[in-house]
Amino acid sequence: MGVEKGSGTDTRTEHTDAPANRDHSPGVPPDNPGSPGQPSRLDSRSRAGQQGNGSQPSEGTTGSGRPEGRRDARTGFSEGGSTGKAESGKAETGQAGQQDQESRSRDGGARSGGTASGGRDRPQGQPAEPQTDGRAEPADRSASPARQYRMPTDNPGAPGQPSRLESLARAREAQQSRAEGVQDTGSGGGAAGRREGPPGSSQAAGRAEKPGTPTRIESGQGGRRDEQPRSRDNGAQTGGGTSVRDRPPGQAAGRETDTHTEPADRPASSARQYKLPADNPGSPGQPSRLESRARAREAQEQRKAQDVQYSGGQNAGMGGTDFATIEQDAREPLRDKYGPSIGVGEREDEGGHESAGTDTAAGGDSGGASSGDRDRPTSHPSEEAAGGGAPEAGSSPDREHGPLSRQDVSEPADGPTSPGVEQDPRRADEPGGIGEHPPRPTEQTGGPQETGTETAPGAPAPRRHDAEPAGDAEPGPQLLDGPAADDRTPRPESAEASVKQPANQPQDGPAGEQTTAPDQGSEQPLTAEERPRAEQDGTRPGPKSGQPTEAGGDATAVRRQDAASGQGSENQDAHTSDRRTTDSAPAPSQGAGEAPRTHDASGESASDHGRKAEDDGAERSPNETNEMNPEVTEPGDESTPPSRDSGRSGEGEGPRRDVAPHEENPVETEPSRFGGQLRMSVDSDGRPVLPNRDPVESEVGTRGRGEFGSPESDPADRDPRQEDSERLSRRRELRRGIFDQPDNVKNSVDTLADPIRTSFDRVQPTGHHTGVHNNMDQFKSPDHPLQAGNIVLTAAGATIIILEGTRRGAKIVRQLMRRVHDNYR
Amino acid sequence: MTITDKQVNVLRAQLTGQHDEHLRLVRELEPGEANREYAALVAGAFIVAVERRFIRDGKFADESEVIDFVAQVRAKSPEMPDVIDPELAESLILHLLERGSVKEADADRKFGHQLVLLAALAGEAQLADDALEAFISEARSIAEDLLE
Repeated sequence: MGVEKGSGTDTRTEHTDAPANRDHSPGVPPDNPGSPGQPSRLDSRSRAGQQGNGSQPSEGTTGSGRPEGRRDARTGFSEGGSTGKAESGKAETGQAGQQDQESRSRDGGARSGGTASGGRDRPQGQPAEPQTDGRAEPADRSASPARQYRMPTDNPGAPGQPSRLESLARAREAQQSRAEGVQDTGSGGGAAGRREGPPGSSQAAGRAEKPGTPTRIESGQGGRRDEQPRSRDNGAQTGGGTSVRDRPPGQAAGRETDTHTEPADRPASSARQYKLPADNPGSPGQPSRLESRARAREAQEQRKAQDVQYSGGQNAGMGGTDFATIEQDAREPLRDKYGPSIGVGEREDEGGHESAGTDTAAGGDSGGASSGDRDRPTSHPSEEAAGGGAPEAGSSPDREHGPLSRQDVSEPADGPTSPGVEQDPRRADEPGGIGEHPPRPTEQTGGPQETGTETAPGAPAPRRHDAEPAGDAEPGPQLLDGPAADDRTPRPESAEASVKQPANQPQDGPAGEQTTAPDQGSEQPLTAEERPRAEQDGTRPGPKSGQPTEAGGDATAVRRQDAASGQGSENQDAHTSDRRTTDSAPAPSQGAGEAPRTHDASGESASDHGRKAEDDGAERSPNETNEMNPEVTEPGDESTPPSRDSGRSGEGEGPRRDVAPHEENPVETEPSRFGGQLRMSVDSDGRPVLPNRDPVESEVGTRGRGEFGSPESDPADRDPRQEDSERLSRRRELRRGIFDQPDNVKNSVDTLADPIRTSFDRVQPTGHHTGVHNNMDQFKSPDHPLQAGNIVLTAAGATIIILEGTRRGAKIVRQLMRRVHDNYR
Repeated sequence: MTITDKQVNVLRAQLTGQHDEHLRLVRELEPGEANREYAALVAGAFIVAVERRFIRDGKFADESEVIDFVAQVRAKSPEMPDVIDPELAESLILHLLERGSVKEADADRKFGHQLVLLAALAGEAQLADDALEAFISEARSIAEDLLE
């Protein structure tokens, strides 16, 4: 079993399964003894990763187990004997697993495997192992050149089998301790061993487990292995630590991603180094610290409850490994959901880590085991590496912000408890501007819940980063001084919404959030909007800060410096400023000193807007700005893209300023515009009156009948008598025209007495119309009675016709008779 | 100049078809009174009779109607065409209808035509007592107006 676990895949699978184990973790408590071993592993890995770059040998002690294990696993197949021995010793514990490995190495890899799961994975892995191992190795190598360098170095060292032996022995010791822890923690230990295993040191891990007497526990884990086989398969394919899980869809790609993650993990390992010393004793406590931080910070009350759930498994024996597993687990679901985005984010993060991680080449090896851890620390180291000195300087404010947010949440003391952790948050915060660092620390602390809730897929990490950058935005407070307040007011809403979101999300996957958070955070400026939210939430600020740090991380170097200048109280301001910057540009536009920040956030657009803003001055209200320049403000408000640009927040501020002046100007101009019009149309009532308007009835008045028209022309007032008078006068003249005074009336009357009588007599009415002829003789009716003469005439004529007819008939007959007779003749 | 009842009675006798009475009353009139007041009263009665006959609802009748009327009067007796000049008769009516002026004629001739036409119009109207009195009153007013 341990052998199986020994394979990098196994460890990975364990990690993946780890959450389940955690759930099952009630048995985890036994891991507590192993917990110290876990940190040792992690520490060794991280140390090896960090220091390993420069000094592998020193790390070799701790980290050697892994690389050796890898060597063993890789070379071990060929060398089988050595590994087999170790395994044989382990066989007691590892039993079938070891035997399988041995048999594999012996048989050359074509075994069905004692354990179905192990056998399966192995047989595949065996023939494939050399291949897969080679693949995984080259992949790891390619992914992290440091690894490659390591491997070859180890190889030469490998010939120094003793190194292996030494490493084996060391690993055994460590593994024993681990195994104990595993037994204690159960799932947790298994997860750690698994983690260790996957990097390729699986054999070593298996060995450690084997010698770790609690082999049964391992075998018990074997059941887990059975569960794990999936992860194993994935892990075998990917071979990478956490990335492998993510990779499962595409092995090759997974390898690549692994490589990326590993380097990123390396820097993280460096962070761990710092942490580890404190963590070692606290290692069991580290998770507790982290958990407590995360809980207190992120969960607050709700989150705390959620954290408690997680803590059950984590507290049991979860080391950084547990977190890593958690992260991986979370990543897996996240990846499943947001696979592309997350994967990209991870890749980017990894890539970033690689760049940084290359510095910590050792981390690559160790990273295999502590891939999850690597991811976390990677963000930090990567940030450090990437950020260089600047991020550190700036990191101080960011750190402050990050911790502040955390502290705000619930754990001011946590920061001091684990300096390493504090450093990490600082780092995260510092780069936080950068984004990657903050998210991780936040993730570790309590980021997972929040982040997971907020942007489980990809957003969570950026949010954290954003929140951190918000811390970075400490300069933000400067911005806040100006118009930022206005911006803030609107933003809080978004912040509230964001807060609500996280609350919902936290369960989704705190660990996943952690893992994803850094990656996404580094990658995604997506949550630039969310940043302010996260900042507001305090818990979120971590992840959010992580995001801004990412986006801003590039440009936030200035911020960091600025932040370094003033942290403390500014942290809150910074958070607010971050919100401002992210959400809306106004904040950046406010202060010239803030300008760098604004420039960082808004970038180019900020410059343009900044001009306007300068003109307008800080007095402008954000609302006005929004109204005036909706476009500018909108991007600023949404700001996710601008925040991504890192300078966008400043840009957003710039446009805001611009907007504000615009508003003011139009207001001024408008009154002037309307002034003329008011003069034109204002009436006594204040109503606008048209110049040319027809008179109204009220004005003209009615004729008493509701009719329009002047009363003077009212026809009702007309006197018909006047016309009559005229007519009369006219008639008079006419009448007088016919009257002439006769000279002798009496004579005329006497002479006309007869015609007067005749004319006076009326004509008697006849009853006929004057046009009708009274003489009806001209017309006679056609039905008058038949007359006798006519009858005689008709009878005579008829007789004549008949006689003539008969005569002619007889004539014809005679002729015919003659012819007949003639014929006979 | 006022129209006296005596003069009115002479007119009333004429309008009522009392020709003998009419002749008697006319003869009883003073030549001046007969030539002035009674002549004005006969002109007034002629105007009223024409307006009532050829003006309906303020509209004047066609000229043809006037001509037909004159023709009928002239056709009532073989002697009438010689007594009544159609043109003068029509002009008297049309003048009252504002359609031309009265034909130039002797006053006694005009009076003779008015007297014959009035007898024809009165014969058609067959005025009752009330209408006759209104008619006479109106004719009296017009007569008085003509005499002014």
